[in-house]
Amino acid sequence: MSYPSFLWKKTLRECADTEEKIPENVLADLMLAGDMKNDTMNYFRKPCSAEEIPQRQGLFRILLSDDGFREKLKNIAEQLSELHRITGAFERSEHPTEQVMLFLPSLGHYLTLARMFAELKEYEGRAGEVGRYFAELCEEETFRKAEEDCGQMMKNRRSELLYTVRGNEVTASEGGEMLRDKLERFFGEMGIPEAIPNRKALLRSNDSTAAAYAGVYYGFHAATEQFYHKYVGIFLEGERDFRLTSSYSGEIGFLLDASDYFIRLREAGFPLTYPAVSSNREVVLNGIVDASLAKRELRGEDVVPNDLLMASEYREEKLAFYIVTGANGGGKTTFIRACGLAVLFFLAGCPVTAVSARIWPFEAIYTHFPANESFENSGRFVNEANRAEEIIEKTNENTFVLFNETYSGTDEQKSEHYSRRLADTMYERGVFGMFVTHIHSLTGSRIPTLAAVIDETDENRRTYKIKRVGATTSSFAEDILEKYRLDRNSLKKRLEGERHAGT
Amino acid sequence: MPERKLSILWENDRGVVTRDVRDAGKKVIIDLQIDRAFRTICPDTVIREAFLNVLLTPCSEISEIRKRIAVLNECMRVPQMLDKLIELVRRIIMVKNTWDSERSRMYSTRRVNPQDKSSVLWAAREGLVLNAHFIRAANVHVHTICETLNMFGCIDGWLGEVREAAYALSQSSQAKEIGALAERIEKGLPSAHTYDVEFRFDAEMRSDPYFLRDFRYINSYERPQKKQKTTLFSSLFERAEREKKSAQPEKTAELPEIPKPTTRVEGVDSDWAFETAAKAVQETDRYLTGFLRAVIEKFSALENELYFYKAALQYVQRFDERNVKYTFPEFRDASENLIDIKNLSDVLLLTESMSVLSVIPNDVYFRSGNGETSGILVTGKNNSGKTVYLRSVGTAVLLAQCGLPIPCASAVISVRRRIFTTFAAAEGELIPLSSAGRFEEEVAAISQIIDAVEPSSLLLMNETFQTTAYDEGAEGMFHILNYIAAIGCGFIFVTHLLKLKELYGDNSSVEILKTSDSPQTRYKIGKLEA
Repeated sequence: MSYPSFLWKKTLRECADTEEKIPENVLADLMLAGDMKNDTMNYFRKPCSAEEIPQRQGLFRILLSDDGFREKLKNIAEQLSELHRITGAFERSEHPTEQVMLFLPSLGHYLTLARMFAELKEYEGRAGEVGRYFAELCEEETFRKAEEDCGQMMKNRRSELLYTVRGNEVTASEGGEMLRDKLERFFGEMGIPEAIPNRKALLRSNDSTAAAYAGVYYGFHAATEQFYHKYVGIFLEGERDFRLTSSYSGEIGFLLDASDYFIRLREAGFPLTYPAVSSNREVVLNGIVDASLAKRELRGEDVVPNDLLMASEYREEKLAFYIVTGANGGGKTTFIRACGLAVLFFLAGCPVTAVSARIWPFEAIYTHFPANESFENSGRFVNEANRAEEIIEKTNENTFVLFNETYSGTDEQKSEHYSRRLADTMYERGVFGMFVTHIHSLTGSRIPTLAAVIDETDENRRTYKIKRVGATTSSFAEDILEKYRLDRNSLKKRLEGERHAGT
Repeated sequence: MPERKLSILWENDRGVVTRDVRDAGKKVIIDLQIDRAFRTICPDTVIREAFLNVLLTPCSEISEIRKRIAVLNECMRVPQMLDKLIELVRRIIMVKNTWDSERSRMYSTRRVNPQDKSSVLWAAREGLVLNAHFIRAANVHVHTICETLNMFGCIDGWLGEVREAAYALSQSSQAKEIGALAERIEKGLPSAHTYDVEFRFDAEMRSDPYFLRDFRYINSYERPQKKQKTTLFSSLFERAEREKKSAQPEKTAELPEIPKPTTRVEGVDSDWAFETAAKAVQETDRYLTGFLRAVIEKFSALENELYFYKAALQYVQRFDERNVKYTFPEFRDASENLIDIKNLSDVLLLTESMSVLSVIPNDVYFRSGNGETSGILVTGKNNSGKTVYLRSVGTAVLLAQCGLPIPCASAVISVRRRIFTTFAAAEGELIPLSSAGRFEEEVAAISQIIDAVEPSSLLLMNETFQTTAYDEGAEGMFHILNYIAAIGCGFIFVTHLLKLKELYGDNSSVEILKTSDSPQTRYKIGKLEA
């Protein structure tokens, strides 16, 4: 069997074909960009299957609780990057002598890496599976022999070389004690270590230098050739070709980077939970907060949590698709982003910023947020409509979709027409999702409505909560004015205060 | 732990002095008129500025002060040693300046075509030869520093460390080997024809930059030495020598060394060969440049430090010339907050007055805690010596903490973390066009001090808060002084704010002194009689 993947229930080779089902714009719309490396973000675009989600969650559980495991993964990542650097040099090398010599340290790095992986065998889930695979590998006789041979070869290796340059004739011989080392030692002993200049970058060898080295250390070179022919067929071909392990870099990079992100969220006071994989088509989120608010250096405790219940059928009502409306600045976008991120994280097997959750494993997520004002050859409305149309075509009852103020780039009548069509289509198809809109005539129909309303339970602050409502008629402009103390009462009080000060 | 930087002033590198600290230090020096006193003592501006620069940050570690005193004592013992050291350090700096100018001349005048590898090698060789020459030049002076300190018996303390460093860099076996290398390069490299270039291949077949290990050159013709006439004695010696040699058993023939495997590097041309040699020469040059720079920097940094001792020595010599008694104080820990000086005179008056006999000494004593005083209020008529008293105490503490003796009969001083002064600003010194009034500016200055003050600091205030109604000024000052005392600082406050006396009442935490009104005891300061 070939190398098993950390992230999916497949081999690394099979994983190479995993499709990116979630479009790139979703990550940007949900404001995930910048929080993690670009390579990491790509993994969020490949959703897990229902079976894989709990396994991935298991990995994150260990990553977020066991510093030792994180440390091991970090060391493995470093070793992998070393291995790939040298394997790269090996593959790029066009000179057979150099290739033969580069094979030795490449294999050496790989054997060390395999031992490091084998240490993961005690862990549960995918990590343990990968660990056990390598542990078995390390037990094999060939592997042990290769380790022994490699160690011996590296021990015998000499690195110093001396060129004697005379006119255009250059001869190479063994190095011996280096003057540079001696000077560096002297500077240290004389109490002037600052005299040692910075080391310059290393130079790649070429045909001539590699051949010269092989000529001087011909015994060693002959031994490396033997070593190469002995092991190349085992470690550089077929299922166990060690070059295949390069895919682990990406996987481990994702795990480390994403877990760093969630640790930062946890430290910023955001709740984290591992949602259960629901067997019914539903999304149940309790106490969900928008993880992207951490960017604004907000503490998790200061963010108003919300709840969401979505179900294909709940008390004889279809609650899969919602219209979301309410005050400007009332947190509609934040709410749908929080829900979108929750589903995205869940599908990537990551924790979710909520108190508890239960989510159906969707196949994909689509988002339609207002785009930047750069529309080539077409107006804003046409652009919006085209993008929406593409999404509508792809949606089905196994997709999760978020529309944010779609069709706002035209007159009210047209906007209402298109919006209604969109909402109806989604509702009828049983697509899961939300549609943020200011068109109040859409509310109060069979499609359930959520609205940002003032949270009466919070007496100290003016905050908004997303709640299920009937039909709405206002965008709560008065609330905003009051928030900034520009409403009638506030202005009156302010006037009185100034008068009082004047007298 | 990083190695201590070679210094004869500081135990640990004080790093970059921030602008705030520098400004505060300057203010103290100007308020106490130390700069004015040293204008007379040390007329050389460069030396005086270096000295005053050290005064900006007085030592707060007793061990550091003691080490400075030890160096100053050595300078007082053999003043010519200090002059010799200054001269040698200046010579090292001169080597550096010549080296710099020669290098820039070399770079600006030579025309190297990068395509012509032989000219690149030629230019690289020229640079390395130049460095080798200056390594030998600097080495001579470093060697002399070591010899000078040896000759004057300076083998302990900071001077001993300088001696050791000079030894390590000029006479140790390593230094000798580097010196021999430099000599060989200077003499032989210009006519080299073969270069040994060393480098190392790591496991990934990447090589270090090339390094010149050795080279071979054609010896220029040397005139054979004339055979000396043989005298009877010399012929006898030669004979004895011959006999001795023949008596020694012949060495057993050594096994011939197995030749090391050598291989010709194929596929290279002369350009490649020249370039390889040039790279190696340049890399070696980088190392020798680093060495020379480190040696020069190590000793050139001592220049200003030596100037400090030069000025300090002139200060002591001034006292000697005028028969002024001076002493190094005994230091106590900062926490004791003690100042006990007997017969202290003012340095400025001692240096400027016609006769030192006309300078009236005074005693100063306070220590905080245990019901003792933590501060002194000095009152008295105008021109009765209040400011001089304040100045003499401030100057004494500051100079003492910089490792200098002070003009008094005896002194016991706690090291102060910081010293602050506020002397009432004259009208003209106020910030022009400032919208704040004089009093407000004084308050702002005091507030800056209060922000910066640390426990065990010393505050010297001269007629502060007299720019407002006296009662209000006194009231304000009373709370400030109490705060200063409460955080464990000492203070001396010269004032006309007599209400302070009332506010303190019988409180013994402050000693109230008064200048003498009697013409016989003019400028004497004593306790205020009830």
